[in-house]
This record gives sequence, structure tokens and C-alpha cells, in this order.
Amino acid sequence: MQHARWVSLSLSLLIALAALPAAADQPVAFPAWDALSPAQRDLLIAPLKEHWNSDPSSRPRLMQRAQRWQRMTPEERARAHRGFDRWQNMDPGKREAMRALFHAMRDMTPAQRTALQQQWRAMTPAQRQAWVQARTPSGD
Amino acid sequence: MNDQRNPRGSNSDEGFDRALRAIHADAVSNVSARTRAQLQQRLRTAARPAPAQRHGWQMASALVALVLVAGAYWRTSMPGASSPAAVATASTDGDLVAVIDETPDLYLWLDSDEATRLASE
Repeated sequence: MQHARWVSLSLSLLIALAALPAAADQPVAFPAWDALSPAQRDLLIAPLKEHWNSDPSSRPRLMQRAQRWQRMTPEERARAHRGFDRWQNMDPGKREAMRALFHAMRDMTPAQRTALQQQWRAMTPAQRQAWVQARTPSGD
Repeated sequence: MNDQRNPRGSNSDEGFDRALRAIHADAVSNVSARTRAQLQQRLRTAARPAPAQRHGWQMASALVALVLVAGAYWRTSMPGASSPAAVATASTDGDLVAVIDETPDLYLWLDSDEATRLASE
């Protein structure tokens, strides 16, 4: 379903690109986001809109996250993007562990964080798995 | 500046202003407290957007926030010659949706030394 949406989006973009007049064999240089037309922006955020409309109960959470993105400095956004790239390259088990560690550590003092890291290092894979499963992240 | 060139004009303006303020004070003092309270209530009601309008504003600000997130995402996703369409066509699993499925602070933390150490163990 998701894949089909992206195929459809990609096709729409390809059709739009093919309709461009000059230099069809040249790479198309699109402008920065701020210079895109409203139609181009709509096209790009279509999956996000669908996500927003499909689950009304998740809207407050999405809004909170969007506002957090907005409050970030450009430097923080760049770091968050690098973190997102790492996240994308993790397998599901690693993601689950990192998510659990993040939620457990975010409200800890530095000393508590250090203690948890040491505890984590000393755990066997099975113990880590049990530790992660015992913690259900609350979302934010 | 005009006051310096025309002190008489300035005095005249001040007199006019004083007279108007006196008339306004007189008019206000003749309005009953009950009427003033009613007027203030109506003013507050008129200034408040209707429920449908409020909902519209909430939806609009939500979409604006999402558009800003999308903009921020595209801008940071390809430093330099970023081509949003190229990113969109290259993506097959909905990166833009995935990016908002977790709190941004998780991603920020994942770029820290602490997270790097933990991830490598």
C-alpha cells in the first residue's frame, strides 16, 4: 500500500519532469523549499497529509513533534537528521533497544545515565532483550 | 517639528485634545455600570473567533507546522544541491512520514557520543 503510494508519487513526479520543455536530458535543478510553488509543496507533503488524515488520534502527537522540529536550531536539525540516518540503518531490534534506552535516560541525571550505561555493558544479549521488553516507551 | 515651527498650533492641538477628553469622560460617566459591563461583554464576544473559525485556525496551523517540518527535513536531508523531488523519488519507504513517527529528540540523541557508544555495544 505504502509502496504503491510512493510509486504513484514517483510517477506523478516523473510525468511532471517529462513535461518540462527545455533540456530533457539535463538534470533538473529544483529550487530550495521556500522557492517551490504551493503545488510542488503539496505534492511533496502528500504522504504526510495522508498520515495526518488517516489517524486523528495521533494528531496531537504529530503536532507536538512538528512544533519540536520548528523550535530546533538549524544545527540541531542537522544533528537530528544524522541521527535519523543512523536510525534508518538500524535493524528493528536495535531500534527498539535504542528507543527504550533513550526514553529511560532522558530524565536521568548524568550519574544515573553513566550507571545505566555500565549496567547495559554488563548485560548479556538475553538480559538486554528482557530489559528492553520490560520498558514500553510512552511515545514522547 | 511642527510644534517648534508653530507653537500656537501646538497649544491649539492640546486644547482640542483636552476638550475631547473632557467630553469623552463626561459621556462615560453618564453610562451606567450595567451598560458598560454589557458593552465589554459584547466586545469580548465579537473579538473571539467562532468555533468553526477556531477549528479552521487549528487545522491551518497544524498544516503549516507540517509543511515547515517537511521543509526542514528536505533542507537538511541533502546539503548543497538539494532536489526535493529527487529525494522523494529515491525514497521508497516514506522517509518523510517516518521522520515524524518518532520524537525529534530521539534523532538528536542518536547523533550524540553516548548513543553512538551504546549502539556499538
